[in-house]
Amino acid sequence: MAMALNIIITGVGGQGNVLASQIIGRAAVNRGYNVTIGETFGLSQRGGPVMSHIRLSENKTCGPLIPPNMAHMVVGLEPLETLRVLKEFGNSETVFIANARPIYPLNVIAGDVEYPDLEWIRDVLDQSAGRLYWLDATDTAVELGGPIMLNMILLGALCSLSPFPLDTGDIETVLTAFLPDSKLPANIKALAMGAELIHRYEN
Amino acid sequence: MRRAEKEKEEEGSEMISDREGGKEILLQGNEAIARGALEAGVAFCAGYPGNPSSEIIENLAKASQRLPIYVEWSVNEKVALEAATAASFAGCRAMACMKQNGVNVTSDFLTNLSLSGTKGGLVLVSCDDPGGISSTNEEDARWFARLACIPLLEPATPREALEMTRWAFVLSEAIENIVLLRSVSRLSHTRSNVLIRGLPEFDVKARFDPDIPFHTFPVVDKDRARHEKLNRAAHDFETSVFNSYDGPENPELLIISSGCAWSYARESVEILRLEERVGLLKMGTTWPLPQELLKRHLRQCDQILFVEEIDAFLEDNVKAFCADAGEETGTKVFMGRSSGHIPLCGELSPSILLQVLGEHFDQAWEQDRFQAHVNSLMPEDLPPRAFGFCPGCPHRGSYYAIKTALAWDNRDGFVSGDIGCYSLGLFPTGFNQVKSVHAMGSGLGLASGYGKLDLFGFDQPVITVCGDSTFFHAGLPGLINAKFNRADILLLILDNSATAMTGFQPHPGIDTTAMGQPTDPVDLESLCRSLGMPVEVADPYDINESARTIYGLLKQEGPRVLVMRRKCALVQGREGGFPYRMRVDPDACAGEECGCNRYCTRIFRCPGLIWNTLSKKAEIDSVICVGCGICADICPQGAIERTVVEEE
Amino acid sequence: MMSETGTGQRALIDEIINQDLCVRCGACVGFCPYFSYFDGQVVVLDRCQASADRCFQVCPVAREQGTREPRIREGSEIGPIERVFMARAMNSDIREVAQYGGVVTALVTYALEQGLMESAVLTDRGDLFSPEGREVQDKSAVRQFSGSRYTASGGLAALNRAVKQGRRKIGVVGLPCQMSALAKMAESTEDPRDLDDRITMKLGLFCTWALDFRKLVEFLKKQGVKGPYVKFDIPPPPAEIFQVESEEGWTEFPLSEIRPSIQKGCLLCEDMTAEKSDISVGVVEGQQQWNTVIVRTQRGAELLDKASQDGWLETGPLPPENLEHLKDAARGKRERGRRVRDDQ
Ligand SMILES: Cc1cc2nc3c(=O)[nH]c(=O)nc-3n(C[C@H](O)[C@H](O)[C@H](O)COP(=O)(O)OP(=O)(O)OC[C@H]3O[C@@H](n4cnc5c(N)ncnc54)[C@H](O)[C@@H]3O)c2cc1C
Ligand code: SF4
Repeated sequence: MAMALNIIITGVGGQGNVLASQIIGRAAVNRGYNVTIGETFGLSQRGGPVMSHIRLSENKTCGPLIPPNMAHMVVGLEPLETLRVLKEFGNSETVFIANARPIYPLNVIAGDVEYPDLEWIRDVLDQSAGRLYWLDATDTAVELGGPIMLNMILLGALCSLSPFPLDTGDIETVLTAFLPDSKLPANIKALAMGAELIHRYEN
Repeated sequence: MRRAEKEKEEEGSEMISDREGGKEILLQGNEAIARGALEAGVAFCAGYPGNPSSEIIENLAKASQRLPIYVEWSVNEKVALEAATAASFAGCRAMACMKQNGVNVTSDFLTNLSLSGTKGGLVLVSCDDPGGISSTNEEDARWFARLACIPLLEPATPREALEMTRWAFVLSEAIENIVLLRSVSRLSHTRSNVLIRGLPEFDVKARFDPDIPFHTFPVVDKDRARHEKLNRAAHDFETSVFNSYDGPENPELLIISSGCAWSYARESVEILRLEERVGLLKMGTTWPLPQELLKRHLRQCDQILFVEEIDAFLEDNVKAFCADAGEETGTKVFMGRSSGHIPLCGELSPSILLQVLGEHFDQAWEQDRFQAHVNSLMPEDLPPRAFGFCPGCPHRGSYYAIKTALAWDNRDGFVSGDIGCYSLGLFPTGFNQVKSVHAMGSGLGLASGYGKLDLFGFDQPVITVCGDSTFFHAGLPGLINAKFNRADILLLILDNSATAMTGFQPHPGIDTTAMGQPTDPVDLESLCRSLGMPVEVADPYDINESARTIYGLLKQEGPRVLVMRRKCALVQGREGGFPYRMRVDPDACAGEECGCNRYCTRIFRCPGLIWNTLSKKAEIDSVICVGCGICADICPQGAIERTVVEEE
Repeated sequence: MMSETGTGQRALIDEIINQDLCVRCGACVGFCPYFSYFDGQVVVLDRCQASADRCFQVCPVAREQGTREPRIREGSEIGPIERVFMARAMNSDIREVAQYGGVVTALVTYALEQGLMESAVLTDRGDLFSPEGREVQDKSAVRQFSGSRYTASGGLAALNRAVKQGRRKIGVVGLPCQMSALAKMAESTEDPRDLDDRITMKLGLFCTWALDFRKLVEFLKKQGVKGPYVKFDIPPPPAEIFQVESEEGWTEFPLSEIRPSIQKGCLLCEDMTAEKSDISVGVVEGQQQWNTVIVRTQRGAELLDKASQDGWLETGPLPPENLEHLKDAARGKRERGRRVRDDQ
């Protein structure tokens, strides 16, 4: 790892973004990385965008914000927010894991603006990013017990891709310390499903 | 859902109160400040919630379950600082925490306190919010250090936040005065590896020594003493580890930087490979200036760039210093906010620094090509994500009722707003009803002024809205003013039983303290009634009845209060109870044929009520709708149905 | 479909509401969610922004662009006539509470009892706030709404509510402007509700003018008569007075002092006898216990005949001088209205 590995998790308030980045952070600290996680949420409780910048380094402390177009990996919990990240932080090698289910902004619901066509979003990501994994992860989450599982599924997906240095085992260790026992099995299942989705997508 | 996250986070943050040290753990900037205070043996912590500062007190409150410390959410920031100061006067280490606006509230006390001085280490923490991401302004609280003549510390990383906080208590005791520690959102909400040390024994004994009073008299003598204290701090700062230089002996450009912004400068220098040409002076102790240290570095280079968040604080102070020390330092070219190199307003970022440095050294930033590629595929602006009240939020109902009542009233009435979730009433989610929002409690003060303008022909009705927490904070004086001066004022207390905006901290209307102990809540209604004004109560979920009540009150005169009472939707969600299950009857909804021009989604704007673009009809998004039932009353076709959820 | 060519809500706001020409018939209220009636006023809740203009199309004050509706039929100042006569309710309890002969109350009660109407749109007496329209299904409740309120009341909002509730046989009692609003609703290309099928009976009241509730209240407050107001009354000519009952008892004002509170829109109105109704009802000058009744349509005649046969109404010939007087009055209102409109 030359300078740092930069990962962005983006989505909207309530999608479990902050929790996912914290779990990555703890797992990475356990593995001896210098971790910095910058969180942008503002009025996130009110449906606004939430973005975490996760930066892992072997030898130095990074700033809280990833410099422009220097994200190595992006986990997008919501398509429009994923697209937003592409322009500002993506580059031609960035790996994108994108959930395909939109959460409509209020101004879209109200008809002030239109939500971009999903296929178009997918195309733009596909034509720009290094790799794109376009997943129907919300559906999988609902099957696993609810949309709240989405973050764990995508975390599992992330673990199965390079250059992400942690594996699901690292994550499980943190979860075990972090979650009540009752919630553990479902979350571990979700991690596995994430990897499975990537596997299926690749084939 | 965010709430659920928080709870899990709580389990994790037990680490804050871990007595053992010598470990590296992942801490948020605010948690690091809390831990630093604990490592310093803080006894008394008080604050008022406000993004981005709230997590400090929240974490200390949790630590109070395991450690013998006292933590409170105070009624407002001034009281928080005063309460903490009492502990200091009695010889205990104490801390008061708030966001930038809160420091304004403390200022009258603060500028007097710094004259009297303190005893036990006393630290005031301000978390500023560059860009006003969750604030009504982007004020720079550092000026208060100059104004009150007290030392200022600015950490750049969570690790440093911990170290500096711990040291701030030592410094405060050494100079017997309060110390200001300034964080910014970006630091407060950044997590990073932090090395923690063990906690001391908390065995302080509080005692006020009657022989050592804390006066501001004689004022001039005390002021002189205050400056001497500041000089002692300046002396310490000369050798402080919190100031460091990185770069060549004689750089082409010297960057003087503080706080988080320092890391943007550092990374930009690296990315542009300017390490051999740029020197980076990181300042952690920014007032008073360590003059000798500055002189040394200023002599290195004639081109100076200032990189700091919000105002040109270092910039102006260093420039003023150079005017005095000119003979020793020589003539400089200063770049920063006044020269226009750094944007005057808004938050800094690596991208801004890359641009500034790239231009200065005429070095193109290679990623431009990628941006150009993406731009060719994508429109300039993607649709923004507008703020909105949560599904089930009582404020949506309250503002709908207000809107209706003001329309019925038909005299160009308007809403004087205040600080809280309900400030969003100025956006379409609150039907743009709120016409002004300034400081805590200001809505009431303004309203009491409007209430006297009839002398000058003013005939518009004014409603002022105020949350329960905000009302206790600074609203009450405005109401009393209106009462005493016989102003016409209609106050709507939006009582959702939570300081929802900042994450549900207890306030005086709630029966539990920050430390989780039971207490007697202050009863809003009897408080207002005791002032001799009529008080009515309405349910924001019943928009028709609420509108009638508001309309009726608008016709009355003198000070009057309506409590709009319904728990915050997030609290209701946690407690598991919303009244209804909602459905749009697809046969009754005439959709695009209705002629209502999508009234429900276009005007009402609830995230749970969406427009299905295929069926061209309204629809409940069952993942998002919680079942408040309000929207059933707005459809002209009566197509939105609510059924009562059976109690389990 | 929303037409692309309409003038939209703007027109109604600019040309009617902001000109203070609204007569508070209530036709647009609830039909369109952007309007609301409350305490004597029709107000704009939100901006619609669609170009369709059904609100404008149903407004009885609004005129079709550039044309003037030919309201006068030659030889008939009082509109289409099947029969004109006088009548009163047989039941003296009804006459007791009714404004005059109680024909309206009797007909509505009878129609509900016979299932000829499923519900009736009437006007309540107001309590804390102004009178407003009410949908009544229970025949014994009709009497609570007897008597005339001399302020307009947005009554058709209650019709819109009734339609929303899915009622199919609705009777409407209303002022001439409300009767023309009903006609416009039925004709409107933008109203999908098949109102003609749903409204089984239109009972029109004679009307010279109605008062603007809020102006009246303001006037009374200035005169030191505090609300809440229990009742307003205009005793028959030649009294020329206006009476108000409040908590402090009855107070009287010369009618001339009340006239400034007449709705501005009423001054444009050319219809005194509710020409678009099935049956129109007014007073018989000089015989307050009787109503003048104009039957205009076949279904109006049927209802009236049945009610008479079943002993609900007592009828008699209208004295010719009364008919002449009525025609004079109607002609007078039409000419005044036309003059005001032309002066605009
Ligand atoms: C504003 C107004 C002005 C009138 N001006 C005249 C006039 O100049 N000359 C004349 O001959 N008659 C006039 N009338 C009609 C008259 O007052 C009687 O309503 C009518 O003669 C019927 O008498 P009744 O005994 O059958 O009434 P009732 O049996 O008492 O029934 C009266 C009905 O009128 C309805 N009503 C009451 N107030 C209103 C209102 N504001 N809007 C709509 N409906 C209402 C009630 O719901 C009730 O059903 C006027 C009525 C009103 C409301
Ligand atoms: S009636 Fe039609 S045009 Fe008028 S406001 Fe309503 S929807 Fe708009």
